[in-house]
Amino acid sequence: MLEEARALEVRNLTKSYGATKALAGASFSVGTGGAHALLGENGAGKSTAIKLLSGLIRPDSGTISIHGTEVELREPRDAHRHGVQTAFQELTLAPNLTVLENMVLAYEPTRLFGQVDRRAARRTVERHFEQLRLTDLNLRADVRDLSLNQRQRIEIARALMRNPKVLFLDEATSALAGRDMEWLGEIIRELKTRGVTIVMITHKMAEVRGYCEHVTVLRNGHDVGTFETSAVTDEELVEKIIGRSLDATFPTKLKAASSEKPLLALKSVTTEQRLADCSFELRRGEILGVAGLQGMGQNELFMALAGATPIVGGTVEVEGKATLYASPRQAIDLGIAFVPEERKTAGLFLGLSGQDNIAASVLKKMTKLGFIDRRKEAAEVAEMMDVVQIDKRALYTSTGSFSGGNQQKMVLAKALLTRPRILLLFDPCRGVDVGTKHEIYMLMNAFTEQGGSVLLYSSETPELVNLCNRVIVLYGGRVVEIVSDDRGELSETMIMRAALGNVPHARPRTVAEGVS
Amino acid sequence: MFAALPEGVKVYLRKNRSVIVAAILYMAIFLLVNGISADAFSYFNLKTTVDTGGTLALAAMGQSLVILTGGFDLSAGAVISLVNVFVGSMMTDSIGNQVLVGLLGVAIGGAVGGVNGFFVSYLRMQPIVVTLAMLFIVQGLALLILPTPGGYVSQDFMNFLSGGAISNVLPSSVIVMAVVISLWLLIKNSRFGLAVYAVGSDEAAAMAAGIRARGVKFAAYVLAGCFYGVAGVFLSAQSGGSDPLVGQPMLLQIFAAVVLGGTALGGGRGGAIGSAIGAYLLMLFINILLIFNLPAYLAPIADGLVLVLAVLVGMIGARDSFIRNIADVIRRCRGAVSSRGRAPVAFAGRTLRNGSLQNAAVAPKIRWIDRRREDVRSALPAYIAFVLVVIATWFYIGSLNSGYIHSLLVLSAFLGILAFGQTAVVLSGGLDLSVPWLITLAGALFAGWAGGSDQALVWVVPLVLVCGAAIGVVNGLGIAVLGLPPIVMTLAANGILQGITLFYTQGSSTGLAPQTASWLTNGALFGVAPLIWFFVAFAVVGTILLTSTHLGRRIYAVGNSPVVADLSGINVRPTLITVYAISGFCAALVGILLVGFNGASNLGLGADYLLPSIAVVVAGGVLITGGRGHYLGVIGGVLLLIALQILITGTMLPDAARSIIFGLVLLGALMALRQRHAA
Repeated sequence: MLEEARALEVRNLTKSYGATKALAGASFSVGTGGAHALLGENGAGKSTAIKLLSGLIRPDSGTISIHGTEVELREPRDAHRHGVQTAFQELTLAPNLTVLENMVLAYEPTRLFGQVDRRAARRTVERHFEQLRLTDLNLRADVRDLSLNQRQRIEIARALMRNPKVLFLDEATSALAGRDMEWLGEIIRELKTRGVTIVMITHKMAEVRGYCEHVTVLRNGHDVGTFETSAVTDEELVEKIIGRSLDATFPTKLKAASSEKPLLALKSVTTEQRLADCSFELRRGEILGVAGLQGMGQNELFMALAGATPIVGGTVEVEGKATLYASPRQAIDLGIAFVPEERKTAGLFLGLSGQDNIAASVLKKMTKLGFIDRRKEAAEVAEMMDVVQIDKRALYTSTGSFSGGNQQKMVLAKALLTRPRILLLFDPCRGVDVGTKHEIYMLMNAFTEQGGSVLLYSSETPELVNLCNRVIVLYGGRVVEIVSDDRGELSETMIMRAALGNVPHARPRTVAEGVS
Repeated sequence: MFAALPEGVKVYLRKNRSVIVAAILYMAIFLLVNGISADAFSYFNLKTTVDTGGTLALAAMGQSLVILTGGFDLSAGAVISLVNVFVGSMMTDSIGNQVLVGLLGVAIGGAVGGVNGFFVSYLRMQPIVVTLAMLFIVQGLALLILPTPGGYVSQDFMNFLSGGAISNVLPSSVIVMAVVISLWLLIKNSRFGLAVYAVGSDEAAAMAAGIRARGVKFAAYVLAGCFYGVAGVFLSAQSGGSDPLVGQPMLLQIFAAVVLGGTALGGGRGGAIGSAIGAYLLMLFINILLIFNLPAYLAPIADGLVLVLAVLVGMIGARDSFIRNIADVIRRCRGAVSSRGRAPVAFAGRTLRNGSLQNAAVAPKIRWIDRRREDVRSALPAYIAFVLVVIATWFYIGSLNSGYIHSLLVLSAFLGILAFGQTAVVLSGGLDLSVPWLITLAGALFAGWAGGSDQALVWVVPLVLVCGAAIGVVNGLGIAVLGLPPIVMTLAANGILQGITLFYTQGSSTGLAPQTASWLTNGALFGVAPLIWFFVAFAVVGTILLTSTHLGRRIYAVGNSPVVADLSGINVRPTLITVYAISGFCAALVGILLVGFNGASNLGLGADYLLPSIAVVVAGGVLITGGRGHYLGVIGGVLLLIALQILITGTMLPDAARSIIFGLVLLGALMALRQRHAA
């Protein structure tokens, strides 16, 4: 077995973005044939590894070998030449081209004068779709008109059409469910019999157990190890992924003050996309969790409450009074502060200093006759920096040069400086280090202890279970379940079951409906 | 309605909807204008129609290729001028020479496109700024070769491209268009063609799919240049001579034609055939002006309006269409009204950690250099280059007398004031291309209203400044409320302002400057022109405005990221509108001052100020994408450019060399800054 060339061998791979080390010397190998899972927290370096192995970016140092030969992947075509294909999570289809054009893109069959032979292309793709049992796709449709799960399947189908020896599935299952998952499962089985090597990145333990013989765990840009799936338990894997056992991470939960009237009440709130007829209440001093699969309306819910996405139906009441606020400014003035999902594109001005960033939402309070009161500004920002524990260097250094954890703290500081009574936190711990996570948990606790309320969405269900007083579960844009900690029913299985739509009174709207 | 049609046809109709609409619109208007007379479809009418729109159609086809990749090419008109001048200067009566000159003309276009493409795709520089610099470099070259209209184009050459292929049946221009359109179809249906659409619709996705996006973009610019080359050759054959400025008015028309033909700015949708139809449609509109005996200066107004309207119509249905933008504005206003009178909520919990009250933190001391290191580093090159140019001038002239310094400062004041407006706009992430004709209009209004009277200054100056700011507000509204790209809005505004200026002045330069206005620039106060004192005060106020005020902070924030700014509770739209108002104000001020300086208003007042106003901003270390830079750095850029200008004037170099050198400064500054940011 040792003599046989490994399908993939990675040695000491490093890649840095500014101050952040996405990969800090990771080494692992994948045997030929079969499926292999690549696990790790957000920010552990999985996506960077896939991008490096697909030729999208180039490593700072380290080597990559494919089937025994050391290769240099300068562009995706180099990876293709070595038989490596990737179905990406951020889909790589051109929205303005048709399904057919996307399928053959970059490798179109040509005839005289380099003209694309559309007839040949059509024949090939039709045959390929038939083999894959993809029957619901119109080759002439523009990709931008298709639903997320259709696009996801095209992405996978295209990678397959290029006859890979090694196939990466980069969270390719995130938009697939039910029947489509079975479809993918069958394909994976077929590929295995043909001796194709599959590397899956996934967050779902069931997929690891269902498809993969081996699993490699990454943490903080390092490899933790490669294991036989049958030889490790789920608990062991989780511990390897987060670096310690779960229980130690979370602070003790506070009891929410049983309050008379809710701080925030939503009644049948509807947005243009996804969120439909959403009602719930947020109580004083409570951490209310929001759970749901991707695209179930959580993003729209937070954006709408932050004043950034229009609410087209229903009402929002703050302290019992109906409001019509329609901009982030007006939300902030009502005491609602928002920590968005993407700190780099929505949370921070990467080119400005920490001080400019943290003060951005309260500039008016720092202004006298149009002039900024610098002394007051610096004092208040510095005070808030103490609260979230960031180095004072951040006052004048541009935020782009800080690590993910510190950046997130600055976004939090900006939100807290507005002195909000409601904090909207959208996945605040995504891609931050464990230490920072703990600090963010403590901050949330301190905030609610003083009477503030938190609405928290997290892509990691354990966070919801361990931090929240109650969790609302979204499915198809509405609240299908409210799980309360008081009644002792708050558990991961409880949340997941509701999130998957297994609730009797849920009337699901599919993702496809939301898009088209 | 189309239910009976086969699916392939339906898909074709859907994909080419805007082209078909443009074509039908063309036919309808054509018939309306020409009536159903036999003359409408005569050989003569066909030939005139295809001939007169041909150059524009060819250029628009090239432009659409660039726009499809998500780029922008401002050099198109200048390339046509250059090729036209080249053909007219090099042509003899020998057939071999004519073939060679024609092919070289196309090659020149391709070469300029190659330079554009290299900077844009391999050095990853902003297409708008790169091609703007190239616009002036190429324009300068054309003027170097041939300063005034002239040139010679042989009769054979004219007949071949612009005569009758089959006399009285088929004009040659129809064949030219047919050949070029077939060429486009070959390109469109090749791998490269599909790659162009893929790159324009999502560059990262196209790269990940295995397309060499940089090569594709480079090739698109080269091919576009070849199209402009063909346009220039065709124009030469049609006009029978050369004019170094022939391409200038075409720039606005080219963009109007492309958008009218259904090609979306931003890339990925549309095509060159639509652009050709758009070009003929635009010529038809202009013909209507002629038919109704409307003055010719309405043409730029029509071009500008058509561009804006076509972009707006093209937006319908898109995620950021003007309809949604306006709805958002209304919603926000309603929200603001409903929450008026309610005091902002401040949550009591001041301290979060440990729950214990802490002493109010003291503002930490930050060294000036720590805060300003980035600004100093990006501004320094301009000042160093300025000193070098002054030293070079010293060597060249022998001594630097007070006259030199005085004129350096006076000329810097004009550009410096103008550059403040442009700095504010660029810092906010935009670009103001409407300054040339805004300056000219302000100058004309000032001279016209004041009529040489000093008493009138009291009301004329404020009024002209308010007009300038109001025009800026209109720009700002178009950009912030309607969601038009800044370049489209201000380019169109420049055309419209040109028309208004020509209308107001009736095409002649009239009006003298009041005495006081001339004293400001040409008189003396404490030994120097009062303007210099004024500029020093202006610079101080400008610097404070950008660094220490609420508005200044908002400008930097919006320029860094409008999304983050909005989510942070910064009102983006009012900020943008204010910024363009400032730019309009500054341009109007410069117009007034220039009238005083020259003693009278003239129609070329602002013509030389567009490139410098942007070049100094970039040379002064302002990030062209916005959000970073300092006005004091820009003043360094101003000094550098004015010193260069004086040096060029001192040498025997022709005037045209100036725009070439300024273009090179802009490109050089872009490159220098790019490297620093990469490092």
